[in-house]
Amino acid sequence: MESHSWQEWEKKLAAVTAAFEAEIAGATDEKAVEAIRQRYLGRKGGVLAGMLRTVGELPAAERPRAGQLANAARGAIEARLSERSAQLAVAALERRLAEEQVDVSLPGWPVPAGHRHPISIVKAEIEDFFVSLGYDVVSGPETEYDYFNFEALNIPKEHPARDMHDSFYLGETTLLRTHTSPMQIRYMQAHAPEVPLRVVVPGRTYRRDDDATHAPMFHQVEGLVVGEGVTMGDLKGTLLALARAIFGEATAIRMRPSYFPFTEPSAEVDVTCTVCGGTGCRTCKGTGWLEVLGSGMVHPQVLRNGGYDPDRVSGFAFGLGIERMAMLKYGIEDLRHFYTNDWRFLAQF
Amino acid sequence: MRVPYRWLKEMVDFDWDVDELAERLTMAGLEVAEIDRAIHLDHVVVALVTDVSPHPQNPHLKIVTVRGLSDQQVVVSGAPNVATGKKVAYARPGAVLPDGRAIGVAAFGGVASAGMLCSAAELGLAGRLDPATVAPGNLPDPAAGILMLPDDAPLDRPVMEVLGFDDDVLDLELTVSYAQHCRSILGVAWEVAALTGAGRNWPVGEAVVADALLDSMPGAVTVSIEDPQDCARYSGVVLEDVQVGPAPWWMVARLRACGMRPINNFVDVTNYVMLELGQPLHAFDLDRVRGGQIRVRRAKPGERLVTLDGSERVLMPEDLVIADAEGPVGLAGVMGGEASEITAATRRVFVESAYFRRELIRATSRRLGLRSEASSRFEKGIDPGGTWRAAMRAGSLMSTWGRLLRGGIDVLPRPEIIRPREVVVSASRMNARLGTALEPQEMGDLWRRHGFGVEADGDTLRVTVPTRRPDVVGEADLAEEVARLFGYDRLPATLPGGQPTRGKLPAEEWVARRLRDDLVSVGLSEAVTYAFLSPRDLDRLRLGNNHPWRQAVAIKNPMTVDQSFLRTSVLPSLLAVIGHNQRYRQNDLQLFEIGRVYRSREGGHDMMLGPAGVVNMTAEELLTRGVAVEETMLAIAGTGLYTPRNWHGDKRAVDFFWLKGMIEHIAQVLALPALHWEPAREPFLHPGRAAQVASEGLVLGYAGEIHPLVAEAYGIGGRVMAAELGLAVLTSLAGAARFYQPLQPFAPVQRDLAVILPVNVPADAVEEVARAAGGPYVRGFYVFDVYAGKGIAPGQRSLAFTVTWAADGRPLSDDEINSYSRAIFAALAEKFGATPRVQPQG
Repeated sequence: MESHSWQEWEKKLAAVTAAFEAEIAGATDEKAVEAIRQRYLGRKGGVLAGMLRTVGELPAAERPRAGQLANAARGAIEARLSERSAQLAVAALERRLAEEQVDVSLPGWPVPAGHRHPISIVKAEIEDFFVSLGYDVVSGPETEYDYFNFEALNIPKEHPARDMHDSFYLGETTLLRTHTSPMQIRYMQAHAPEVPLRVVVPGRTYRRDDDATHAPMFHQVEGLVVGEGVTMGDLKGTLLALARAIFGEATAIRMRPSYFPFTEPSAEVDVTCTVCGGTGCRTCKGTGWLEVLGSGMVHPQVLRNGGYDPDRVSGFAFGLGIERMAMLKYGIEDLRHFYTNDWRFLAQF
Repeated sequence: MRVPYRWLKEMVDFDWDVDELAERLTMAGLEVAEIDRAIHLDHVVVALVTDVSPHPQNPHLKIVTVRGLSDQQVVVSGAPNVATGKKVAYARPGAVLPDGRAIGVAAFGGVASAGMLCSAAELGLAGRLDPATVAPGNLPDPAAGILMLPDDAPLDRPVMEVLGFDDDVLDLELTVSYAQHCRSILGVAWEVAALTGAGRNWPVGEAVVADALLDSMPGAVTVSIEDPQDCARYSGVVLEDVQVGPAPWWMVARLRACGMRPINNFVDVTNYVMLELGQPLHAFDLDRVRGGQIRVRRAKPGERLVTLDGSERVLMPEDLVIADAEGPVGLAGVMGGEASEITAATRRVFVESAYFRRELIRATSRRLGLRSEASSRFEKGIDPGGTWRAAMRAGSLMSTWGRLLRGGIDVLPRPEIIRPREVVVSASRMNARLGTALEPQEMGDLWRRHGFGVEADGDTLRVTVPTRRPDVVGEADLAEEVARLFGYDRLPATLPGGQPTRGKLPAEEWVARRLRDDLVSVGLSEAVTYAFLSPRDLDRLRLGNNHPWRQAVAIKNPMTVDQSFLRTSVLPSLLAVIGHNQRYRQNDLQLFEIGRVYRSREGGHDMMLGPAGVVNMTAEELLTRGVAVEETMLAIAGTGLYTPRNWHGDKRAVDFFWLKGMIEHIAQVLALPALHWEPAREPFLHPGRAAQVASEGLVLGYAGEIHPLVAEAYGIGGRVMAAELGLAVLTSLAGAARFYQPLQPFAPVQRDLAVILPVNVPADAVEEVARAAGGPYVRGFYVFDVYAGKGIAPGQRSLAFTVTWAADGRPLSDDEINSYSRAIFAALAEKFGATPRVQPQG
């Protein structure tokens, strides 16, 4: 066997390392890296394996050093291979991400979104407010008896207050309720003599009227509190809290004496104008106030009709129009929009 | 009601300007809707025409000489109606007309004209003044000719004062209760006096002292009342040798400011006193009252009367009339009769001042459509104690034009009505109601400001309420007077004390809220529609004669035919909404409504009233039972695309399975038990795409595609899906399927299987067989593919489904699953002749 000199061998190893470096630097994908790995590190026919085989041809004294050098070269090549693989993986990922760029200004997937009706939004707000204060919520029937709708509320036949309640009649003594107030009587009779009563009655009501500010069907919320020592101040505080819940914390209320056959004293309640904040504008006719509801202390005769003794208990009641509240809250100008359900209207809520 | 500021100030000595007055009255419950501002026109005054001569050059012009109190001026005028001896509206040099014209001295055809004679239009009164009501000789057209003024108008007075436009007028919107005592200047004056504490200067009748108050004035008139309940008091005075003519200018000016037209001096006085004191009066030509008999009685059936407006009225026993010896001469409190009206020929006048039963007046005026200032006062309630004073006041004003007979008529069959009411109240209880802390003395002072008598005995207050306040009956009414004068704005704002109560929504409302939130989140929008139904809807829906939706409750007095029933279904309302939107090219619409439907109650709807008005209902019925059966429905209607055209992929239009998906979604959200879908027949639905939805043996409702003929009848193009489910059933079932199962440590196993079987085998039948045959651990079955066509024999289809198995506490082996799968195939083969589309493994 021909003996090689140490110098020659070392030079050859250096040439292998250099050739590897040139090749690996030129590798552009993982496949090329793998081919280079096979070519240099393959057990059979690998360049480095060939070099190791020639170690035996060196003088015995040189062999350990040559073995160390060959192993070091192998380690360096392996490290370089992994490094190159990692570089290529990063580059490949970056290329892919670059290719995957989208036009973020294009529209998104059309996920459907529906709309609540403004009447039901406001109704729920009012209900939630009163539930939080401990009120029972009931709706009551809409097809009503004259007795509950009028008689028991101090509105006998030929009472002038009936003028404001132009009714849809179903029979001689039956009608569509003209307000939610009949539930005052029904609720009291159902619970007497239990106290305290705290109830609100949201629901549909009907009057023969149809223009921009009147609809034959509309929604009211009635409120009734009966108990020992219930005062008109309690009414005022309750309505102030309601107005703030619906129209915002800065809202003030103003009570004016008024008349309802089933309350005495009675009060019309105004809130700070939602448009101008009270400085005066067209919406509030320059007064800074908007009329939103009617209220009062339950009339003693109504308490009696409900099964309560007015000498022992007192109460307050109020009634408000949900449409009116919604019109003020959202600035809706025509009541009829609520019932036409035009998409251009519905889609705004 | 219109209240001229100066007229009010004549009666009460207060300091507020008109704006403060309006604000204070509003806050006291007398809402001022508007202030009609005074018009002042300086240098436009009353002048007397003393001469009219032709213009030397222009035949269309006249040279007019007018006289004031201390001067005489020459004016050139083209007015056709100017005449010597007439009072006219004269704009002196220096006047500025409402249109901005400055009036000076100008020459017309060589004649100097100092100022100008004005028409009503030139004074800015077009649309506000009918010149014909000002003086004879004026035309109704405010631009036609110069405005001639009443003969008694004082020279040099501002024309606006003479016409009644120079005063601010408050327009009060009175509530029913204040309309009783505030429908007069005097009534408002009482309020202002109470609010300000200012001195009162009430008008009184003069010159008449009644000798005796009787039911007859011999030789003149005799009064009889048929039923004291109909007429509790009847007063009157008689004037003889009267001269009928125009009323004085100042009275006409006030009537005009209050919105009333002048007629003649006697009628105008009745109106003037009504405005002043609130007592409606009527003047009869006494010579036309046959027999001098005044009979207050009910009309006889079929009796006729020609009223002042010239219409013949057929009367009924519900009508109260004033009759003479032979028949009706007036409708009590509503309108007088033509035959006995005051005319230029009238020589004797009877002035009636009565207190009629208000319900009768209201019923008659409504039935005949006759509303007047008088009838509206009667029907709201007037002061029974004021009839005689009003008669005297009128008689005294009329005595300028006739001889007022001594004595008078005052029939009072029910003297109790003029006794002041006494109400005993407790000051502490009053405070407890209002939330105030007033001393009994302070409270008493507030009532005294209204002229009430008050005697205090410790906490007890004895209040005497005058008859002019019929609205104050009990403690609650007195409380309102305290609160009003104390000021509602000074009441404390507190919350009710006492035991806590639990706030809660009805169960149905909880479900409704869940549904609303959920349906909105999956793209449906909420509609709110009228609960009416048109008879045409029943036909548009193709309903047969016995269809339950025809059991609708009728409205006796609908506003339109299309709103003449209460709806038995929400569907027609939603179809109408879709139709409306399609007209605006809004074709993609998925809607829902949670609303009531109404059905006639079997056996009619008689009121369940027991003795003494006690209602014979249980507590539950009191809270829910209406005249009709009322039920709340969830209705869904969809049309067009629910996934719009988009650049990502396919658009999607609603179809039956969109609708079914929505309902299945609802079922999941509400945790309903399994739903059962059965083909159904409804005349308004597509016969092949209609289902009844049930669960636990309860019918929830229908779901399907709207029949094309129905859609067409509602003017809808394209397909519409609709469903209606009962909210009460949904509520009763909600949450039934919500229970906890412990989690298993092993993943469930799934297999996709596919079979070919006849198309008429419904998917749920396949599921039923597969679940039964697939062993004890089947947890799920879901059809993921349906195919018919190429490769499948006609009449057959391929159904591919995933079956899920999971055992408790142990894994399932492939062998087990394979054997279950084979069992499913075998059972389907046996039951339906199904063949596996893919051979079972193993």
